[in-house]
Amino acid sequence: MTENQNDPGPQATEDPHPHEGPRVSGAEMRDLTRLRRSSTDKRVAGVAGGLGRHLDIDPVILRVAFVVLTFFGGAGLLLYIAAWLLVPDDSTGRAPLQTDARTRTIALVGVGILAVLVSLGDWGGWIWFPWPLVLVAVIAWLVLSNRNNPPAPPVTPGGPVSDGGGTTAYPSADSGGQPPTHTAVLPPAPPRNPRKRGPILFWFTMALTALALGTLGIVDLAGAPVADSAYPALALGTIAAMLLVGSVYGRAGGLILVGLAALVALVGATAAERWDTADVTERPTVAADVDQEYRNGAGELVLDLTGVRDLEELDGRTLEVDGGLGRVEIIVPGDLDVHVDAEVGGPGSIRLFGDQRDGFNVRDEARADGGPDAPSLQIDAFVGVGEIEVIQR
Amino acid sequence: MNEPTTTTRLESGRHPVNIGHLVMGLAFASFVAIWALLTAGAIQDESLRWLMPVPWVLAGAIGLAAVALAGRRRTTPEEPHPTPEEYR
Repeated sequence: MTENQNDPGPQATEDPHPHEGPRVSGAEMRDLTRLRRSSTDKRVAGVAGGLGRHLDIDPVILRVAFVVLTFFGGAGLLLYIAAWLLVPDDSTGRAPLQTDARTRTIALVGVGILAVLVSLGDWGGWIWFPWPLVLVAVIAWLVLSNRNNPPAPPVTPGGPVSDGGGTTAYPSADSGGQPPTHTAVLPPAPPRNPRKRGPILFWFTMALTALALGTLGIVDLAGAPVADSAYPALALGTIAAMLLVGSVYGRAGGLILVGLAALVALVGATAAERWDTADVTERPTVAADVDQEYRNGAGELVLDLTGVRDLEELDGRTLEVDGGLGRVEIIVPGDLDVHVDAEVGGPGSIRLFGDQRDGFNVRDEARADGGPDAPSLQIDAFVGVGEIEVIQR
Repeated sequence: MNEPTTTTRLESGRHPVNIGHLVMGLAFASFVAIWALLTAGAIQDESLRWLMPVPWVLAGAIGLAAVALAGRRRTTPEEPHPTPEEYR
């Protein structure tokens, strides 16, 4: 790639559109090990310049994208800092956090996924998963793994290391064991990670989990009282045990991801078991029947206040409505001043007087005017996962 | 070439503690323990609010302790490292 850009070759002089056409293949773009920060086209750390060269697009577009994404939960800043720390400079071949190519690729992909999640919603309050701790842990892991790695030797200017002709000092399979006619400037292969020794445990764990779940299913069908949530719990327990084994023996790669999926399934199954869905509709006709607090574990809770005859008695009151998992619908009369504070703790949506918001940990507030001298009511609505809707009729 | 025995094969799979796997394994095991307590009725639903962070705290603390212990072992002079030939 770099050689082609620097030396277009004799045919390029006859090309009527020298700056058109693809110069970087898709495979080269996906190969993040080739990514380098630019030492010549830089505003801050050369991230946008290097990325623009890697993707063969104008770095200005990327600079704008970084700035815009910064306003989406700081995703742009997160991406930029991660690339700054991880991606080597093209002149020295060094990065502030020196890592091997594979670790760097995994870290960059991980940061990319994190940035997507961050830009989708307010990450700090997303359920109870400690995302900030995860970020700190990733940085700590990179720093600690960096201490165990020898510093990479500087690369000759002119392009990434992997562009060195593709040949190495090692005998190739088709050369019959004969050494190649020349050697490249590739550094010697890094020593193997001592924590990646022994058998791969992933498929063994999958088989063990399937066996355990199948056995539990037989016990269940035989008539023993087996809760639905016991299935994901058993899977999670098996994966946890194999992760603990894998922490000192063998390679347990991939099990964390499967464990997280099993954890989500366990939480969902347990919640479904413990909180049976119930649809509740409340239509008080006098203010004295309007409770201060309405709660529902799971299901739909409808609170219709349009039938209240003595609305003036509601003046100055505060209603708390907690819908748990599910939907909350509150219908208020048109001749009532209403101020609503609504929050969905997890994923869900809020629709207040026609104005809708979706996402994770959504919050919104709205006010409905009931006209002059109308009684005023405050409503605080919350659901863990689901929807809140307030309508004025 | 000598045929590797079961013991040597098992030994060859041992490695320094992988902190990531240790921490997540402990966290998952703790969640299963909480589920078991909840299902058995030993704890009430209200207790979940403060029990939810416990697996992360527990696993994180043990993970940090493992990192510190591994660091101490690395800095303590002990028997010389095996040569590359011995690894083979």
